[in-house]
Parts: sequence; structure tokens; C-alpha cells
Amino acid sequence: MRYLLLAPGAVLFLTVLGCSDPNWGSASGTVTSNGKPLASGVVAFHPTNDGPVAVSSISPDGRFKAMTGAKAGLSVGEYKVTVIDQTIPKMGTTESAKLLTPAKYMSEKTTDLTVTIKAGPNAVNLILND
Amino acid sequence: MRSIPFPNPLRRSREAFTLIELLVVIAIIAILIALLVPAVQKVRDSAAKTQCINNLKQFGIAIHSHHDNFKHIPESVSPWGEGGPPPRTGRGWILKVLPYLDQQPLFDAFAPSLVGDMFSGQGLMNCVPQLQANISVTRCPADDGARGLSTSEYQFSGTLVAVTSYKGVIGTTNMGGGWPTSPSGLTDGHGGILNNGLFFRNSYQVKIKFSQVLDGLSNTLAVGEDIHEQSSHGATFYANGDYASCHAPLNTIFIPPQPGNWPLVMSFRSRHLNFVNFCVADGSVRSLSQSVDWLTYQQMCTRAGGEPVQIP
Repeated sequence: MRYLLLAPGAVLFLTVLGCSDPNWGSASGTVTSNGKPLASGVVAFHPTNDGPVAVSSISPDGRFKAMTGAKAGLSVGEYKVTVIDQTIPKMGTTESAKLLTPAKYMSEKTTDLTVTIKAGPNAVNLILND
Repeated sequence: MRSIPFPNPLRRSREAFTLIELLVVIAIIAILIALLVPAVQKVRDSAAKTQCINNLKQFGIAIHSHHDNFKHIPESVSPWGEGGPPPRTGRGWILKVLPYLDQQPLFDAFAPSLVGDMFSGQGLMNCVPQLQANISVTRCPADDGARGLSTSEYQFSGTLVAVTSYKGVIGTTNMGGGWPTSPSGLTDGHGGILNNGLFFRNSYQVKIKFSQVLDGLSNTLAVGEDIHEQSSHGATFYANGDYASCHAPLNTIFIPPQPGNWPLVMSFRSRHLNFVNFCVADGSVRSLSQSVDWLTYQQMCTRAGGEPVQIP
């Protein structure tokens, strides 16, 4: 009779296990710029082949978690990573945003950050230097 | 009379359930509910999608009716100087199409007060009670945050106003420089008249005609969805609350939301399952998958980019 009670647990375990997609991974981690953790800004993962761009904002504790649209995670494969943190200009003025991170990380053409996303969770810790 | 030493079947049935029996019954009920809930959720999602598409269709018809009458796309009047003549009322394009959305009485309620400059306390600032009109055609049922009024909209901070889920497509202008990696490479021009989409706050200075949509009406996105929680630019009837840019990847959602970071968040997204509904300039409605290529998406947002693009 005790084993009967274990059955629903086993079903639940197998369901969770069955959900892992071999073509889908997650990417989370921290960003530090010149030794200091960033507290705001955006990390974007640009696929080197065709595919959607995955994006995350950087939370005040310097952490990010990539999302593809409304879905957490991103397709497996190679990505170029861009990082931008800038001031918010006042709406209705001609004031422009001031960049707070090194400029080369702004564009996928100039960034030297690359990452390979594998199925399952990926720890991605980004270090930016001038 | 002797008592019979035989168990009475009626008496036995009055005994309590054992714990195991109870657990098994609860487990069966739980499994049945678990089967039912996703099915109900699916129907709810599908109903929200249908109503959302219908709302956008209404916008498509309204824009065309407006064009029939005025010979141009409904225009917005920026409250800022920005090269435009006064009165700078701050009236948005959604207000202009109200008569074509079966909201003539609301339009008439706005009309007498819409005089003078908004930043002199006149114009739209004269119309605060009307700005709270929470009509359903401007709200996607999946967008929970647009259900009620908001006090945190730009230029209306502290004032209760209705908010919209639907925003006109300004084009690919890089709002506030928030997306420098945007493949179109366009710089920020949202405060001027050189925008490559159909709806922007200074469009009263140029009054775009359908004949100027050189990419073809069926290849150009006109109105799309936003999630109110994600952006504080959403006052329904206001020239600075009713447009968004295609500068960010489609359906970029920030967790936690950062509605005040306008250079990042003035773009298109939805609470549907991985797609965003758009009204196309020809009046049809399409659901764009969020996995659409960033550049292709940007090409759909321009009215005269000359790109060979077809909306899937």
C-alpha cells in the first residue's frame, strides 16, 4: 500500500523530466563592468545563425535571465552577446542617453563576448572591460 | 431470542472510509481537474485572441473610414513645440478615430475642450474626465494591466487616465537610443516628422496618405499590441501614449517590468502565447510569431523602405 502512494510522485517526476527540450536552454548569470556589477541595462543574445534574439534586463543585484519573447530561455547554439547600460533621457527634450558601459559591447559587430548555449541551464557570467 | 453472530451488512456500510480510500478518491479528482484546467485555459486564451483580433480589425476599418473622409491617416498633435504650429493640444490619433469606433458621443465630449496648448494647462489637460473613458475596443482582454485606469502615465503622472493596449507603429526609429543594435540602424527621430512608420506624435505636420505607403498597404504594419504593465506610455487618447516603435525585438518582455525606461520599452508585445497581433495598413489583422527575424520585422514596420517583404 505504501508503494501505491509513491505512484503519483513518480508520475510527477517523469512529467517534469519529460519537459526538457534538447533544443532549448536557459542562460542566467551576472554582469560586471570594469570590476563593478551593473545594476541596470540590457543583455542581448544575437544568434550567429538565423533565429530570434534573446533579451534580458539586468536587475539591481547585477543578475540577468535570458528570455526569447515571453518564453524563458533560448535555443541552443552560438550567440554573440551585447550589453548596454545607459541613462534614461528626459522625454520631450533633445537630451540623448549617456552610455555607461564600454562602447564595443553595444553592437554585435564589435562585441567580443560569445557564448555557446547547451540544453538545460547555462551559467553565463559576463565581464566587460574597456 | 438469541442474537445472530453474523455481521450485519447494513451496519458495516456505516463504517468510516480508510485514509487510503480517501487519498485515492482525492487523487482521482485531482487528476481529473488537472486534465480540465489546461483545456479551460486554452479556451480562455483563444477567446482573448479572437476578441483582440476583432478590436484590431475595428481599428483597421476606422483608419480606412478616416482616410475616406479626410484623405489622410488619422494624425496626432504633439504637445511639444517640435516645429509644429499651435494649438499643441496633445490629441492622439485614437481620439481622432473615435467616431469610426462607434464612439461619437465620447468624441463630441472631447471636442469643445480641445483648445489651446496642453502644456499651458489647456488642450488635453482640459479633458481629464473624458480621458478616463475606459472603452473596450482599446483594450486586449489578455492585457490585465489595461483593464483599470492608471495614474503613472507620462505627462499625466498623478492623474487618473484610461490606458490602451494598442499602439500605432511609428516605424523603426531608435526611441531614446535604447536599441543601438537594431538591424535597421535608424537613429532616434520620434520627436520630429522624419519617421518611417504611420503613427507618430507630430504626424499633424505631414498628414500621411495611403498613396505615400510605397511598400504597399498589405506589407506595412499599422497598429500593434503592447502590455500596459511594461510601458508607462499608454494614455489612450494622448499623442505621446498611442504609438510604439519596432526598434526592439518583437515581444521583448522585461521581468521585472521597467515601465519608466522608455528607450527600452516603447515597443510591441503581448500576453498571448508567443505571438503578437497587428492590424496591417490594408485593414487585415495578422498574428506575428515572436520568433520572426528582427530585420524582417523592422522591414514590415516601414511604410516606404523599399524592402521586398511580405507579412507571413
